[in-house]
Amino acid sequence: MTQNNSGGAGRLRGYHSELFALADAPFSLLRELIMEKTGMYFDDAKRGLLADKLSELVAVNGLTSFLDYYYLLRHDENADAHLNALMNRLSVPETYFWRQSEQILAMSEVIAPTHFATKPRAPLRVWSAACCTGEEPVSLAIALAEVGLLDAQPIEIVGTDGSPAMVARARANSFGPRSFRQIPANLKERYFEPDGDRWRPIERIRRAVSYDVANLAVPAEFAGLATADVIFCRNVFIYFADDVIRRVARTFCERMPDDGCVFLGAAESLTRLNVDLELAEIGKAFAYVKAGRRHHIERTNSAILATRTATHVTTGH
Amino acid sequence: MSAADGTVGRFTTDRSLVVQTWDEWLAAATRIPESAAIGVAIGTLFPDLAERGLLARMRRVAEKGGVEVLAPVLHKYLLPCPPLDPASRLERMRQHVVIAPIDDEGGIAGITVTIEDVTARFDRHASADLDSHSETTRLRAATAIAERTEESALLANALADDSWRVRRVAAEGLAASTDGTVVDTLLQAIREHHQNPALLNAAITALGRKRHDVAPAILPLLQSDDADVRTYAALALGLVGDPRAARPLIAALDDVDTNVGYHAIEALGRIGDGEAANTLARIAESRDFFLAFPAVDALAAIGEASVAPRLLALLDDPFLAPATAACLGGIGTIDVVAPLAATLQSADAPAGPIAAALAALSERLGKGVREIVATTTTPDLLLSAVDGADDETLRGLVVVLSWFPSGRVDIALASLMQEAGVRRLVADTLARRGVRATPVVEEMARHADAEVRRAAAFALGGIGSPTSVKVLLDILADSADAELTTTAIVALGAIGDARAFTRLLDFLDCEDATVRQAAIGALSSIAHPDLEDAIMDRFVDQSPRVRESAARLAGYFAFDSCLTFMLAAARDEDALVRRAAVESLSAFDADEAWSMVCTAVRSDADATVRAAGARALGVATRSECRDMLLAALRDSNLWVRYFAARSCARREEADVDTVSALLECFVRDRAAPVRVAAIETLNSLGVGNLFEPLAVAANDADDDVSCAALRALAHYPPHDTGRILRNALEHGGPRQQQAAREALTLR
Ligand SMILES: C[S@@+](CC[C@H](N)C(=O)[O-])C[C@H]1O[C@@H](n2cnc3c(N)ncnc32)[C@H](O)[C@@H]1O
Repeated sequence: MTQNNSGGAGRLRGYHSELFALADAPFSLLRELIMEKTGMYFDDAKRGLLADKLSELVAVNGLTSFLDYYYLLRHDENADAHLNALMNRLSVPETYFWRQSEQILAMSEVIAPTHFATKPRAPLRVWSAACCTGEEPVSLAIALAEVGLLDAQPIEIVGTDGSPAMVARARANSFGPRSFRQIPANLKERYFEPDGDRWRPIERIRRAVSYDVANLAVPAEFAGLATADVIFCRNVFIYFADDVIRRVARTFCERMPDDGCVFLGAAESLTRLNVDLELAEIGKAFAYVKAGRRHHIERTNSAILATRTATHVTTGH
Repeated sequence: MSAADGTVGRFTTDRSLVVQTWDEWLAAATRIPESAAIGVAIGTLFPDLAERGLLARMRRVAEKGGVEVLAPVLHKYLLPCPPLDPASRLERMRQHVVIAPIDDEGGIAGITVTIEDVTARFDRHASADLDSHSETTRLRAATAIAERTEESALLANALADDSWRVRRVAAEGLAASTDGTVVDTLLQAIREHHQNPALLNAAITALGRKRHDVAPAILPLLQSDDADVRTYAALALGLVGDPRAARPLIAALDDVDTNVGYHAIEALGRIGDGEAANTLARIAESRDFFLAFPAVDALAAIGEASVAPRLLALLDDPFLAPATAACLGGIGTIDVVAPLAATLQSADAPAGPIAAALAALSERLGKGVREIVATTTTPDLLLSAVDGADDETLRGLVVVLSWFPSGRVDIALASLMQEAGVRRLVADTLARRGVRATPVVEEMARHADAEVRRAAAFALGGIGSPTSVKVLLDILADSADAELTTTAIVALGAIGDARAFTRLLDFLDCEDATVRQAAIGALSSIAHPDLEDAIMDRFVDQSPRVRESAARLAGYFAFDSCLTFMLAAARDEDALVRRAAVESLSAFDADEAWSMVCTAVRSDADATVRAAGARALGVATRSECRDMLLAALRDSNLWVRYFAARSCARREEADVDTVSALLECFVRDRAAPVRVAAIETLNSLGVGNLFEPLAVAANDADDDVSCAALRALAHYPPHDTGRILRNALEHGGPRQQQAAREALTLR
């Protein structure tokens, strides 16, 4: 039973739509193009939001209409630069250290030890697929340092984002107070050093993470990264069209190793999208693993953890 | 097919299925020698025949005659035996089987069964893997077969797979199949395997997607003795959505099995046949624990208004009230508004669903609804429902609350600006409530959260009360967020109070282009007496952004005193300033102004300045301007050509030179946007005779071009364009289809 109870809420304009009006035709052209290029989908209710966000790009390019901007985005010789500006504009830079920490700890306390126990010489590859300003990959490095694996074992942590501006900020390694709203104070003390009135991760952590730009709407840009053992792809699917999510998830599924896993954000789910990934319980968190692999992965994890706990006990830890 | 090629075996039985003949091939294949077979009942030789339902098939032939064919894709084999080729990947030989009666004078003497070994055909395929024990292997095989659409009939078997994933792939593959026999295979699967719900479901899904006429095949299943089968049939008929099923489904509402009734109700809802409304309303009125609820939902889906008044009585039922309210919102007429609103007087009414229904009624039936509601009831219950409501519910509550002119409603709405999901709606609502809401909204404009402040600023702009200037200026003083700043500036502009003037001038140098644009807009709507002087000062400012803003502002007012400055600005060292000046010079409509615009279009080194000039020429009336525009159509930069083409449309002059220059752009330009602009301009100038090039362009590789051409074809006679538009509708991409639809409606 889906009645539209919005009472017209769907037709709201942007806050400053009188600066530039976004009419029906350019709206649908732009939203299709934006979906194709960035994966992000703006439904009718978000039309005003889109107009507000794009108006500055229209103005900066000396244009007076969204339709002209659409043509610019599609046909200009600098279309790539316009696309980057668009990504930067639409990016929602909302992230912080230790966000949904049970997932981060599942990676460091369950997946990583299991990995090194079962594939001793293979490096552990961890990919943060929409890393935003870097808080997520840095948290992953800290968690691995906490369990003593960061320098002891071969580990690669890569953070990528579709927005070049976000990647530049991540590379700058400079974090303000809002980024620390969740991370335990002792970790902040041990893994960060002051940087003016901001904070910078210590050298050991900085060295562990590398960054790049990669657009999840273009499978070729991330197919190589998707072979990682662990994928953190959190709080980005919420902005995507279902078809794009399906495409991304299928690429993950094809490329990731058989016991690889994918962490999504709390509000995100793949269950209704018919992809061959299923939920598995890892540590205190849930992750998507290849369909049919859940039992195997859960069993291996607990077996390895059991032997570890046993040796810890016998060696008096 | 002959025994000589070594792939066919045959046996015969008497009427009671005792083997009479057994050939050599069978002896080799089954490893049962002739001597051991003859005289033994076939069901004894192969006990699993009974289990697999095949004994019954043979018995039917022996008793009733007729020929039965067992397709290997469904049954795999009749007699279980290993493949003759040891290299086969299959566990069992695949058999194509024909069971025929042996006619005797007095009737049927027995049966003859011909078995053809078709293993090799399956072996070549991934289909062998469909038997694997591993789900992954089966899934991979099904996917591989599904991709070869001409072979996908092989998937029929996988419809019964244990794994829903395999079933899904099989159903999708069959639905997409180009093999003509697939439909028959699926119908056969439904008839024969209806006891397997998973298979039935998958087969029906596949048939539903093929839009094949399947209802006649499913309808008889409604009469089955098996309640599960009747249930599935009802479900399937709903999925198929065939109106011919409505009558039989209405009959099924009286089924002894509640499940059948339940699915028949849902199916009727999907089919949407008004004839069912009466019966469904009766079921709803019965308040049957299982059936009333789906009946109300189905009535909402059917949309038959005549039953709405009967549903009002259900609003006192705590279980049924929410669904009933939603249904009334969807199907009710103005008569239900007052009784629906009156229920809000009772403390245990479900305020959320009722509000949603009233909002939906008002959306459908117009303003009259509000007045009825506001005079029938009070907002108390709605106000108490706000706490803890989800976004969807809140939206309905906000809409209905806004109909009550009450101070408590103002306060409640203002506080809802803290809810992200309805913030924008609430801001709009408060703006429309007018001055009465000012104090509460101003309070929210001091909230700690920038998004709340932004919504409040927006509402204050909408209300337009001068008292709000102070709080908006406060926002400007401490906002670090360009979007909040922009909204506050726009609000100040809407209020139009002179006290904001000086502060707004500061934003002409803001880095963010939207903020500058907003400040320009606000300053021009305030129109302060000191503005002219302020602009002149700013033409000589250090910052190019300020000079740019000055040029734009001067353009708004076309102050004579600014013309000299404007001409200088059009030669500024900074392209940003030149661009603004050239664009704004058109407002002055003076000879020097136009000749400066022309100079810029002809010779500015920066293409964005030339493009701005081309835009400006759209409002010029002088003939030298027209020539300049035509020259711009041949500029080396595509955007200059694009805007020149657009400007030709604004000028509305269809002289020979303009038309032929535009035609040149349409047919020969390399840049898609230029071609689009040329097509649209020629069209708006009413230039005919473009059928040929448009017909070609309708198939252009670039979507923008082909769609512009398709839309332009709307202006040509149907007998010329019909084929092209129909072709686009049938074979074009989604955008071409949309453009063709638009063209057809425009026509
Ligand atoms: C809300 S942040 C999530 C940050 C982090 N993963 C977390 O959960 O805290 C969303 C990020 O997705 C990025 N993004 C949006 N579309 C993208 C795309 N198509 N490809 C890659 N990143 C994208 C945005 O730039 C933004 O940085």
